[in-house]
Amino acid sequence: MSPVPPPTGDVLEDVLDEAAIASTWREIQTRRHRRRTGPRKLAVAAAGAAAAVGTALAATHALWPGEDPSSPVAAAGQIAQPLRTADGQALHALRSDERGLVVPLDDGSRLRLHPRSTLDVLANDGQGIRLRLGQGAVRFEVRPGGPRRWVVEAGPARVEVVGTVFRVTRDGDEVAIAVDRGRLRVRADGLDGGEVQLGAGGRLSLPLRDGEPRGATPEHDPPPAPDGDGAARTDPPAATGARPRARSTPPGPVSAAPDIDGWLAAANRARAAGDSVDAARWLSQVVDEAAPEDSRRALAAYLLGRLQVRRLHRPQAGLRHLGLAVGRLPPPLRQDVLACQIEAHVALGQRARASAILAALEGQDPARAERLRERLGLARGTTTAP
Amino acid sequence: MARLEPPARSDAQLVEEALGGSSFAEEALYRRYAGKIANVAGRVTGSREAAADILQETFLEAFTTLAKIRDPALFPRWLTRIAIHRSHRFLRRRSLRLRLGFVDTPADVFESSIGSDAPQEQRAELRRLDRALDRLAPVDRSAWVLRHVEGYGLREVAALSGCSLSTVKRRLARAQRQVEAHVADVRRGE
Repeated sequence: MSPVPPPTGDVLEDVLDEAAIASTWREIQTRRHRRRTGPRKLAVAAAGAAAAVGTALAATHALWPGEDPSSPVAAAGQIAQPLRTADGQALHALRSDERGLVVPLDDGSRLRLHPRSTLDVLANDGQGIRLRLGQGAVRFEVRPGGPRRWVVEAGPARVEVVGTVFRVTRDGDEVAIAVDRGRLRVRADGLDGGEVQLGAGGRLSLPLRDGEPRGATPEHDPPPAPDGDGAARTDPPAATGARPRARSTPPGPVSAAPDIDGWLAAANRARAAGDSVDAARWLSQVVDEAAPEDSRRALAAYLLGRLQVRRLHRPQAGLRHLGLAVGRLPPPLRQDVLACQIEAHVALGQRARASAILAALEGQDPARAERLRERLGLARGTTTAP
Repeated sequence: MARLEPPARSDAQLVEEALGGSSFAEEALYRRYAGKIANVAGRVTGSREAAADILQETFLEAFTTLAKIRDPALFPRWLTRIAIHRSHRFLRRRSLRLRLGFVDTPADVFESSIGSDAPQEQRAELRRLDRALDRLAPVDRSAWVLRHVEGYGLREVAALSGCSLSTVKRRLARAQRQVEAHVADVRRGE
């Protein structure tokens, strides 16, 4: 027998904590992204610009921050069994139909899936449970004081739970989190310090595609008002709690390797903070420095043009940038480009041009075109070419 | 009707999806095995910093060469082999640095892997183990760690190390002798 009692991995703590592992994943993503967007591959990427825009946006939300070393799991040590349903079945991916679904669990917790919701089980290995909300809404009633660490992911948001009742809704282009009882912590890039604590009555919404959290009301405030405009949003900064991270240094001299993703992220932070001027500077930097075939340039041009038209009152410059973006964006954003162009032409007094573009928008999104027509007071049936 | 879906995707399914370009599948594979790979790399090298680097390099290599995997169901073994290979490389370089006289941080991955409330004696044992393993040849160290720390069977250790069963047995025996001798020396000195 060895004089050294051979330790086994089971009694030792993990070599890397969750934060280090999450950070490593982000590094991997960044390095792979760099490889994929090398000069030669950019040309290929241009062909699939629409898809790439989505990927670029998703990449800016790459999330998986670390766990709290003081979490109940860390304190309680290892747990032998994964979580099961109350009747002893293994917990699998859940899908609800029109009537919803209630799943009681063997630790006394309960999952209430709203109609047409999906919840995937990413990990359930006895040390905790990690769930991913694919669509719809789920009310989580987590037994307080339980030994497991609960993590719920939904798009950019990662919700860490101790013992509470809360609801996560994934709807269209946003994730909404509402706390009914207890407290939880939400982590996401763009939140001040990367995370925000939500108490009972707290609400938080995060865009799935548009870069930054749209607002947070950590204690008892009503949820942010919905934005009637369906495309990417440029909402004002959060009122409290989840203020975006401090503004980055504005663009300086151009470095040898443009940090396009970093500039886009800085622009998003500035936009979320309500600083349109600073956001425009970052976006201009992207438009100037990114390769013409880089889909991120189209994205930046679109966001810049939109800011210039709607916030900075520079319709002429806005039109120029929108022109760089149109045709390189997926349909919903393309419609927003058209809407911005219409607004810009109206602002410039070019109502005939605005009406002509409106006619084009009418063919793609009649309801939106009608709203714009009413709002801008444009005549129906104008066919003058822009 | 609401229903329970089949179990979560298997490794083979995730590998196939990752080969098809699914980033979700890649991330799922990472989440499933990152902790395990980090533990293997950290305990084989004795360094947390190395564990993070090796974790990153292992998955980068895995995702880049995923098409070469023969049996997707054996993804974890294939992944662990990459990690062990990279750990060996790290240890060889570290050994060279030591021979050249560069100062290196002593390994403490075992000692620091026990809770702060652990008994002092247990902590001291793990410190001795760190020092003892630090003296082993990379291949001996990895065999010992895989067998006695990670709990792999002898055949699995052989498969992961890319050598025969008899070679693994020899390495384990050699490592065990050296570990015992070192621990005994240290105890006498204390």
